Amino acid sequence: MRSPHRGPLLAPGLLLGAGLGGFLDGIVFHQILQWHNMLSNRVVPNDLVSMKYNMLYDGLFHALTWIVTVAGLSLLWRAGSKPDVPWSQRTFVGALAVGWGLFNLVEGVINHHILEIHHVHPGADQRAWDLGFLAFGAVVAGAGLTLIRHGREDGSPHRPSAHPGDPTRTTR
Amino acid sequence: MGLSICPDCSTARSVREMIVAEGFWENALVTSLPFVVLVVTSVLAYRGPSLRVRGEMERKPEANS
Repeated sequence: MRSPHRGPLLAPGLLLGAGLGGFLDGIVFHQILQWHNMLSNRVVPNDLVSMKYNMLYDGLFHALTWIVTVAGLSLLWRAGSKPDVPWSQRTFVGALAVGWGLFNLVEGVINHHILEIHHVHPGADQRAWDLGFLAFGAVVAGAGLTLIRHGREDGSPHRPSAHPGDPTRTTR
Repeated sequence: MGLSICPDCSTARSVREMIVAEGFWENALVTSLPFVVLVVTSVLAYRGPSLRVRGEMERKPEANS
């Protein structure tokens, strides 16, 4: 029997966490609250043309988020058919949280602090908002890592079967 | 209101000109950078634990001998 390994469950969790976190960022901050857009610190969206300019890069951001989400779903589907992958809820939810938190950290450090293409909430307190965003990402990622660590105990390998009761037949 | 159906109106043309003038590929690269980092991390996560398990499996016989 092959030894169980969690990589095939961790990878889709990371991608789906980043994808869902990215969608949340785009929907809440870009569209509902309209605090910022993708390049709103470079091209301030204060007229229709500059708003549409930012909208295009918001669209590109959402397209990439969609691709990452689909890749995560695809890997999760594949993991479901691997008999040596432990089907651990804690591992998967932990990976989702790490993906979301890591996305916030990477996006925050690169886009808000290094390149400054936008800030979470532009204005007098933008530095505090940007740091708060990073802190939130670190907390979510830390919680996810803790869950993944505890998920090590969930060792029973997943044995998918399209025909319960017939152990000789498995799904592809 | 004076609004008319305008699938490719002057603002759309202005946006296209602006995007070309202001370096589309640089901005696209900047937009995609966090996703690239996440994809690389997930590839490492996919391979890492399995390599570690394989390493442990290879070490076990030596420990028993």
